[in-house]
Amino acid sequence: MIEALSLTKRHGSRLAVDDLTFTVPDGTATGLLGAAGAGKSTVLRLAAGLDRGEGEVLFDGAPLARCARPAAAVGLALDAGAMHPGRTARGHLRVLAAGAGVPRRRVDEVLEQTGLTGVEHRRPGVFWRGAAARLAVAGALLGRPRALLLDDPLPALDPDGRTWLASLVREHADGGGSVLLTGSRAADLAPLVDALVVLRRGRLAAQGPAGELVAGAAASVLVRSSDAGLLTAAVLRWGGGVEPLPDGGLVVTGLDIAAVGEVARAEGVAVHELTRREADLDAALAAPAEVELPATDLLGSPAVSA
Amino acid sequence: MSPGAALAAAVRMEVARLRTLRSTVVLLAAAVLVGALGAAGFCALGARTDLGRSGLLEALTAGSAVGLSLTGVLAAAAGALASSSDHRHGAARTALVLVPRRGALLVARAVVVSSWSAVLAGASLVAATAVVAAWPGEPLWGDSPRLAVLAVPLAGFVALVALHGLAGCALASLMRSAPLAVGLVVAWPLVLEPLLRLALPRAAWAQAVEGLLPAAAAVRLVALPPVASGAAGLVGPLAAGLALALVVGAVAAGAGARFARRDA
Repeated sequence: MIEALSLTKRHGSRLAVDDLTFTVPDGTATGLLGAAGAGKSTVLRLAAGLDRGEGEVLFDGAPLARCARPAAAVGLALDAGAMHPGRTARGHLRVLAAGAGVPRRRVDEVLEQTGLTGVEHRRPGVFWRGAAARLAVAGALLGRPRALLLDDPLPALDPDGRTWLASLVREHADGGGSVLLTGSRAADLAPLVDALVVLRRGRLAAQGPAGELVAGAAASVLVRSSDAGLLTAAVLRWGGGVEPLPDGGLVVTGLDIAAVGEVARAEGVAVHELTRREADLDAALAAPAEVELPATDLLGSPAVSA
Repeated sequence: MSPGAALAAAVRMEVARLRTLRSTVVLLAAAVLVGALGAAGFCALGARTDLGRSGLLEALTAGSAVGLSLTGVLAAAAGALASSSDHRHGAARTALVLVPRRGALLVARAVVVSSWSAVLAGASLVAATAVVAAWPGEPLWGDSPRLAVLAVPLAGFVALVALHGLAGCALASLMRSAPLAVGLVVAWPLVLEPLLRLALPRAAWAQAVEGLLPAAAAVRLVALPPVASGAAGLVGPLAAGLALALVVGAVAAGAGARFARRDA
C-alpha cells in the first residue's frame, strides 16, 4: 500500500505540491492526473526521497529509506531519458541490478517482460520510440517491487506499447501490488487504472474511482434560448453554473439536461437547442485555475477506494 | 536499509557502472600510453644527458615529480566524468531509489573513484617499467637508488593519482562541469599556485605554508627522499600527503554537503 501523507514541496515561493494526501491500496492501480507542471513528478520524487519536502510517503507502512530492501519495496520509472549514452540497455540494467542486489539472470527476465529482447546490446541513441520508456519500466521491475511508480510513460508508447503497459499494470495490481501511474490526459490514463487522483497546480482537485470521475467531470448542457439573461438567472437560482458563449448560447453545469429543460419551461423561455455535452476531464484540467473542477464533490474522503 | 548494506549495494553499483562503459577501457589504455610514452621520453633524454639519481623515478611516474602528473589528470578526468554523469544522465536519481542513503552513495563513489585511479596509476607504472627495462642500453638504471628507496615515492605516486581522481570527482560535482573540473586540476599547478605563492609574504610561516600548498605537496609526495630510506625519510612525503589529502578532503566534503542538501 502506498500512503502519501500531507506532501508539500516548495520551489522558492511557489508551492509545487500543497498538502497532498492520498492512498493507493494493495491490488489497485491509481492514476495521478494533472496538466504539465501540476506536480505529478514532484510527488513521485518526494516519494522516492529524491526531493526534500514536507510530509511523507509510506510503502507498506514505512518510508523508502527504512525499507530493508528498497528495490523489493518500490520500483520507480521516473525519467526514460536518464541513461548514460555510452551504456547498452543490458549494461544499464546490470548497474541497477547490482544496486538492487538481484542476480544477473533477473536482467534477462525483465528484458523479456518489457519486450526488449533483441535490443539489449543497443545504446539509447538507436532505440526506437518507446524503447527508452520500456527500459525505464524494466529497471523499475528488477527488484520485483510491491509498489510500482511510473512517471508519465504513455506519451512515448505506441498503441502496442500502451496495450503492453495496460496489461503490465493490471497484472501487477492483480498480483496484490499497488501501482501509481502519472499522466496528463485522463482519456489515456483512466482506462489503465482503478482510481484517479487529480492534481491542479500542486493541489488535490479531485479523487475517486476513475470511471466515475471521468464520466462526472465537466458534464454539461449546451442550451440556446430566446432569453439567455433570464435563463442564466434562473439556472443560478437553481444551483447550477453558467458559462455564456459568444454566440449567445449557455453552457450549464451542475444540472442535468432534464433539469435545464424544466427550468426554461418554468421561466417561460423558449428553448432553441438543448444538448448534453460529453464529459471531458482533460478540458476541465486545462481550464484556468480559478475555474472549479466540477468533480470537486468527490473530494472528502482522503483515501482512494477502488 | 542498514548503513552497511547500503554501502555494499552502492559499491556494487559503482563497480558495475565502471564495468559497463567503454570509456573505462579507453582510460585504462590512455594510462598505459601515458606511462609508456613518459618513460620512453625520459629514457631518450637519459641516453643523451645525465638525469641524476631521480631519472628512473621521473621515468616511472611520467614526470609527476616535476609538477603536473599526466596520469593524475587522467584520473581526474575519470572522476569528473563519474560525477558529471550524475547530473547529465540522472544517475544520482536512479542510484538514490535503489540505495536511499546519500552518505553511503558518497562514500562508495569516493572509494571506487580513488581505487580506480590507483588502478590507472598501477597500469601506468607497469607500462613505464616495461619500457624502461626494454630500452636499449638501460640508461636510467646506473644512478638509480635501491628499489626500497624508490618504494616510498612510487607509493606516493599511486596516492597522488588517487587523490587526483577524488579531486576531479568532487570538483565536477561542485562545479557541475567535468571540463571545468579537469581544467582547474591542470591550471592549479601551472598557473594558480604560482600566483598564490607570489601573493604570500616573505616570512617563515609563509615558507612553511608554501611547502604544503597542493602542487608543492604533490611534488614532495613523489620526490626521492634526500637521505636513504628510513623513518626520518618518511616525514616529508607523509606531511605532504596529509596536506594534499586535507585539501582534497575539504573539496570532497563541500561536494558531499551539497549533494546531501540538494534535491537529486
